[in-house]
Amino acid sequence: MPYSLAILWRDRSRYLPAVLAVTFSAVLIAVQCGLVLGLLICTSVPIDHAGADIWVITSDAASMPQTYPIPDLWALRVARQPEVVRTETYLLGAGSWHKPNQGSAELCYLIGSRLDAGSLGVVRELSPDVRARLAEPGAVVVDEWDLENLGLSKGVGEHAELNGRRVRVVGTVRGFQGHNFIYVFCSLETARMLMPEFMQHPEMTMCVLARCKDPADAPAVVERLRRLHPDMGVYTRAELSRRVQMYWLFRSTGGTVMLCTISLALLVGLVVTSQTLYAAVLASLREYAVLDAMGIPRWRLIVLTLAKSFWIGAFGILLAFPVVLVLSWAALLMRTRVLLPVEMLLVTAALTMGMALVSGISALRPLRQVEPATLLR
Amino acid sequence: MAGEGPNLQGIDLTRSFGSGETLTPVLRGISLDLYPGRFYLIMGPSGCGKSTLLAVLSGLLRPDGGRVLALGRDLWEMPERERRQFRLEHFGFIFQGYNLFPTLTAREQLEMVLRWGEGAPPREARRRVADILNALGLGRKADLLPAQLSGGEKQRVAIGRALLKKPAFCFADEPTSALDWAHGRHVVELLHAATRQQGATVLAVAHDPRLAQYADTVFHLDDGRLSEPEAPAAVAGR
Repeated sequence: MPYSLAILWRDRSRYLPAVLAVTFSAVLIAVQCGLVLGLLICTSVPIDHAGADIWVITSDAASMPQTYPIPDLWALRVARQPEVVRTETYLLGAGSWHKPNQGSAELCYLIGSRLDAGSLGVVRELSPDVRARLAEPGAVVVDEWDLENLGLSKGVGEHAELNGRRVRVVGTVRGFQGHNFIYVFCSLETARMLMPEFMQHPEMTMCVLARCKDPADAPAVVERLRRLHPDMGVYTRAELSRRVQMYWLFRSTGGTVMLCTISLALLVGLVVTSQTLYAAVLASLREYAVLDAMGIPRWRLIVLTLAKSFWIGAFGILLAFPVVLVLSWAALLMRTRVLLPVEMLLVTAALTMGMALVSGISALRPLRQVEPATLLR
Repeated sequence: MAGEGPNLQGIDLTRSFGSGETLTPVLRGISLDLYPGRFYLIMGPSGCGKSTLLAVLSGLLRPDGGRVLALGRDLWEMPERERRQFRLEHFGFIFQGYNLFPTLTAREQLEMVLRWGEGAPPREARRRVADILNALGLGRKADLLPAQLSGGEKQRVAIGRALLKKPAFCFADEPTSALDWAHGRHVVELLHAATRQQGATVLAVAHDPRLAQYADTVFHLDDGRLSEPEAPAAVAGR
């Protein structure tokens, strides 16, 4: 066993606070980032799960909620591109869901798309059976986690009012819980019925969607359309998804909160770990002085301290992972998604390990006080 | 070793502490010659400068004046890195108190010196440490922590750490001060054996006159000056 590990293990009561501080930092960072990621995904989930390679909206919209109706003739501009094999219109807009048998309403986000097999706007999670039922006028689909918020009990077969019109829930989906609003999926016809501005202006749409024969051509087509039609806001699916997420991240201060939490977590971990290591180095100054007198190179003492900080980081991170998993599972019980992609967990581990090593470096200062001659007084 | 001649020489060593009106001379022009395979004892009252002289001779404290020649080389003319390397190769130390890492076993305390000092491979370090711990009567206590050892055993571990590298010189500062005489005598016997078996030059400072009987030569330090070397019998007869 390395000396650093042996010292750490046998004097674990001394080093435990540092290990727990690292664990605290790692848990806080992972859970906070996981929560933010979960919310970010919510904001772009209809885009990510649809079949369109290209999305056209108003040119200056920073995000989907900022879009304004556009002429459906723009679909022809897109369809003229040789790589494009299909275009279609797509409606979305805010709605007010009046809970059945209750006085209150819930803000929702209405999404209307074509429902046929090759549809570009409909999300993959809608089965052919549900799509068939959605074709009925006034039929809608909602996320099963949102049923309670919508004042529904079992969902399918229940009625409610949306923008003053009667709607019927014909199915539910999973994984489409929105952030601060509720996604409601329906057909284009139902969407026009529920959103009066589109009923009055049937030549208008909210988005134009397109698919390329080869999805890899999408970026080039997007570039060309931007050049030819600067009045259009043209994006690939990935671009729009990222744009929507970034808008939410910075506009909603979610990003700022995340950065503040990470900084705080690192600061707490740094202070506790460095102070623990600092005190440990101070307590060993006489032993270090003996080694120094015997000519042991000073860098060995530096490496010993850094190795201890490495092990503190490693144990803290190892301890953090089960805690993070338990917390994310507990969050799921409360219908909150904490996404934990491997990349994010690796970044969290790297950040906290970096913090532990910086703590080790800051704890090296007392080594300058190692003076073997003091042992001979 | 330096053959028949001295292998450690202090020449006209001076050292003071403080400055201006508080300047206190501790060493006032001390010269001494030490030979290989001999046990030297420096005695004197507390605060007379014994430990300072030991620090100067062992390359830990720079003198204000004078020279220290070890194996023919001027210790204080060497650059710091070279002096550290010289200490690593030729010096062993036993300090007051044991100064053992509280969370390392007896075996690890010694292995650390070999592995970090000489870069000895783990297996070789383990073998050499086992040999010396057995010789010190600590073979069965190799895996105990300092808190599980008696004072005498801890001091034997410290001696093992100092003699492990078979140094040409071993400097011991009050090596028996924390021990009762039974344990203290054992410790001095071990140091004495190192001079005979390893040919080491052992220089110890102490104020316990019972140690004198084990020394080959005894010096008295008083008021910063060293007495002429005396035979132990003369000291024991007082």
